[in-house]
Amino acid sequence: MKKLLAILFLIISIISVQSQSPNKLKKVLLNSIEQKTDELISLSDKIWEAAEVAFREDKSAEYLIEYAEANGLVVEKGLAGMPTAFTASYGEGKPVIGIIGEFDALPGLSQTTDSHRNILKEGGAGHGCGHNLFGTASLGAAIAIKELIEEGDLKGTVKFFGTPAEEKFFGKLWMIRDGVFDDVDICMDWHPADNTEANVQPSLALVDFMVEFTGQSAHASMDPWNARSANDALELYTSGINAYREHVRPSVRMHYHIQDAGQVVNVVQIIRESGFELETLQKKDYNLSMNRLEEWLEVLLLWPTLNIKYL
Amino acid sequence: MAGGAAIMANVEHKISLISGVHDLLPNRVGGAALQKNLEVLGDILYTQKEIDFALEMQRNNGKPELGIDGKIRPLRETLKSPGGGSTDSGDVSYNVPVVSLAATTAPKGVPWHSWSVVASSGMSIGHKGMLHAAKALGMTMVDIFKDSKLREDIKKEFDEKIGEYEYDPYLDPGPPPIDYVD
Repeated sequence: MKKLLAILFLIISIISVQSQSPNKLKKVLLNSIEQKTDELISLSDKIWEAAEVAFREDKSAEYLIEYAEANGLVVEKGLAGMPTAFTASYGEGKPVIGIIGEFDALPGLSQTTDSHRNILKEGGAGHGCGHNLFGTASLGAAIAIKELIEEGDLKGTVKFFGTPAEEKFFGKLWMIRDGVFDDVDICMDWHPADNTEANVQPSLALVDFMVEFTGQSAHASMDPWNARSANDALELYTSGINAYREHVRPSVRMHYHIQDAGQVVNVVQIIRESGFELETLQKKDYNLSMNRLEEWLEVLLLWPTLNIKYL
Repeated sequence: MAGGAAIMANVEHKISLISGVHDLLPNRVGGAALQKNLEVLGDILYTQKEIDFALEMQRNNGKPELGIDGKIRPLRETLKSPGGGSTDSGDVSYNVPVVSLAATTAPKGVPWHSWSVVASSGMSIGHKGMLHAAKALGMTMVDIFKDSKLREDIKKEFDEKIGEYEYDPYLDPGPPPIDYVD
């Protein structure tokens, strides 16, 4: 009799899992998110106030982790060698549906919530890409899904990915390399924007690299013939880049900034560092452009050989 | 090119890769599922106070006074060359199918990565977009959990787009540079 009851109970539970229509479950989900409105706003505001930049998002990650744990998600932190990389998941087995959440800010953008430029903290960072909203919304959705799994209305695992340093370094790369995304079947993603849409547009591929020129210092007037100027090399290089712009497809973007611009004019500069970015439609196009750069002046060996010093 | 410049200036040079990202591989099947849910949710609605805030911000940026665009429109064609911007979610999209959403969190046309986005991300315009995003993403996840055919179709599109491509990240073999100096 006990066994029969157990089987009957099992049948009923299976029926109940399957009988809940998606629309009904969505209503429950919407209700759950509505109820958490104040909590989600407060969470995103806390991350907004913390405004922490790449790999320094200790408080921001902690706020998200606290909220995830308070809502019964299981957190794994310090992933792929990054203290602020974490997952928060619930459920077991397949399918594993992921959802990405970012939370890093941008340096130098500190600002109040005014409609005119008004610095909140001199020199401070600010959420100029809206990642305080990004991480919070994704976690909110993951928690609402967790509740449906807990109720037996959905079957499988929901996994929130707390991904640091999107604005600089690209933290997800190490998470991918170390297998953090390996068990995921499908991953949800979103981004704050000035419009609302299901995003079916590609973004650009990008590579960031650093070029460093080292010369020989000397007094700029007494014995300039003994000097070798890193500044000259940098100017020649950026001239080359700017000439090359004309001969790439319109989708290609090239950016650079000079990190060390020197302090004085009467010393021939030894070191000039410059950061460059090349963006293009697809990684394979990027390879084409880089190959072209290599061929053109025979030297640029960027990938996969790193840290080469050419003499 | 850097080598050429170094030879001309008679100096030494060094090139180091910092990192790089793949383009985002769009998934139209997943996008269509998201679209349906966006249509159920409807437009994001704004108060007059929020619209005035947006207009003021646009004036302060010298941008057209377009207010806030929270409208849901039909799913767009996937363009070959859609414009700028990069994300490391691109790399995720080369490993697993990614279903992606954009939600309005700032006035139309204000410069991204600027103080304007900081301001709107900390007030009700940003909050509204965030809540709309959470709902649309959650609803679509319900569909994905419930509908194995949808999962298969999303996966199928992903497999077709990836083809023979073998993912290879732009990464140095070492650990992430968590202790970088500004």
